[in-house]
Amino acid sequence: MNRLQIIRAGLCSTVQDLGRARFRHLGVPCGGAMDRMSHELANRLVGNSDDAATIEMTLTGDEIQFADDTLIAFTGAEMEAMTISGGEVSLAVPQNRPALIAAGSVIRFQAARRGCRCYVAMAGGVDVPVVMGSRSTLLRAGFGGHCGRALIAGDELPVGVPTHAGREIHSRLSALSSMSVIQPRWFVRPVELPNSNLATLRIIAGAQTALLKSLSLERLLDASFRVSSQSDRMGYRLTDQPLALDRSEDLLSEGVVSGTLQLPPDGNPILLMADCAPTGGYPRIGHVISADMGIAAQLRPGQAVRFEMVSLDEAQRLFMQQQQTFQNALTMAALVRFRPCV
Amino acid sequence: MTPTIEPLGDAAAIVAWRSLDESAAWQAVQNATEQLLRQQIDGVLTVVPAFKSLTVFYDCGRLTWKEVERWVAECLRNTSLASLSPQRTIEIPVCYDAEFAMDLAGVAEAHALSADEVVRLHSNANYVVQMIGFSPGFPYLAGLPSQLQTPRRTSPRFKVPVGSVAIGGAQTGIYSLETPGGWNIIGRTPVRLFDPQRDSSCLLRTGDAIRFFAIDRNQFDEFCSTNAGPA
Repeated sequence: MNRLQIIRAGLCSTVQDLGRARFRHLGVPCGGAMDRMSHELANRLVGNSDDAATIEMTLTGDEIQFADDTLIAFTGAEMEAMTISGGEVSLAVPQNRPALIAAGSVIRFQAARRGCRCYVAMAGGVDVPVVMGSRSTLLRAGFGGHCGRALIAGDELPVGVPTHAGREIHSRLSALSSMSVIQPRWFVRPVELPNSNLATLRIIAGAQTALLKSLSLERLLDASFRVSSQSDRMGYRLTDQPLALDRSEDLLSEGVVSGTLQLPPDGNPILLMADCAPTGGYPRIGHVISADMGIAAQLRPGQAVRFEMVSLDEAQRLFMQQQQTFQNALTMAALVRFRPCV
Repeated sequence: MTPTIEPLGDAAAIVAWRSLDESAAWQAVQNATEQLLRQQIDGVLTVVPAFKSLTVFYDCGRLTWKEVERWVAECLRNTSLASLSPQRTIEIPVCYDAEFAMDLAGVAEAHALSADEVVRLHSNANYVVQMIGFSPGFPYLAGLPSQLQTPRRTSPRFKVPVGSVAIGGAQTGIYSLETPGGWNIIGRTPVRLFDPQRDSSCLLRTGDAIRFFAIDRNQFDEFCSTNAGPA
């Protein structure tokens, strides 16, 4: 069975799939790939189903070696990658398309130039054990993925058996030539990344939005916040624009979800992300819409972000529309890969 | 009483009984959770009960808000008390030794009680799991004797050992994983509340009746060695 080895680890690389959506009643966060569309796209490019596990790299990439010839694709944050042999860079590996990496060669992923999270899929997926219905790493609870933690140099992970589609892409590429990296000339359009000067996230109102002081409400919808360095898969602290409520309410814990904007007593909102707990007790001053959670996942610490209010109906329409566009792009990618001349 | 149904973002709904008193609201939450789970439809991912509310998480690619709202209203139209599952009673051993009970002396002092009296009060009460939350498998227990109600510590600990039994305000709970935490630690159980590798990963369910019984340090160690321990 194929295996991969981490030669050098990036800042925070974890195994992720679509997470554990059905265990929230046990206090278990949903988790899973922060930028789902990029995760799904990477999987489709190598013939995997959406729930195959990928490696989510954060800001900086890993160096990975595969035991066998391996079909890979990487998507999401803009990253350069190249193969290394004998300590020398041999070939650049382009993003957003399948690439065949020769057995034994090392692929080096650099620092992300735009965006924050890059997804590496390999045909067959990362085949770590399924825990509570998922292969996702839940860092805070220390389970899932590879030993419940971020990857470190020396880790060896099993790679699953490629699907029929994966094998077909593999054989078509290997017929092209015998270089150590083989990739087609086509590529798919990557998932949208946030504007690096000032990103915009659309929100709908939360239960306590109406309790914001009028200046704070104005600030929430006009000002630009900064993603602090205290930001991880559980949530982002947003600084520079403290907000206040008209009256403080002692709230009982209620449900929260990734996208929820919480307002803790210090006035700096927290945007909850994939690994957030299923319940929380802070006032909820808004919710980033599902269609913009991919953009949120790609925000970097230090990045400026602003919010724009939309209605629930609009949020739903935007999500449906985005999914439709995305599915069309996936279908196109599936069609193009069967063209005789890749 | 008819609950309120509000959107929680565009992929979840909060159903709440905020104007009811605590125990009536909690009962309503339990009944409604059971009703919703029994009549679960495609696209509904899970139902999470909390103190005075429950949250329905759904796939917004498959269900619209209006469909979720209608489904909830229909399910809750005829909620009956008789439908609740029978309550389980679970006994949990706790070692209240000073080594584990970092805040026991402080809690005793705050209430002008001796440490032994705190232990006696804590281990003689009947508790009910009100909610599982905060971290995987963490039970919020109602039923803490009023003499033991203690505000949370002003500065939370960065790491609370797994199995720590603690008091936070009017509730008591058990740290199911090593996490940060601000509750007052008065003992430790060798029982593992959460183990993702177990078939039934979470030992407790919302609604379970809980009894604590005091064990000494030797019994704690014995339990750990026969059951692979709390961590």
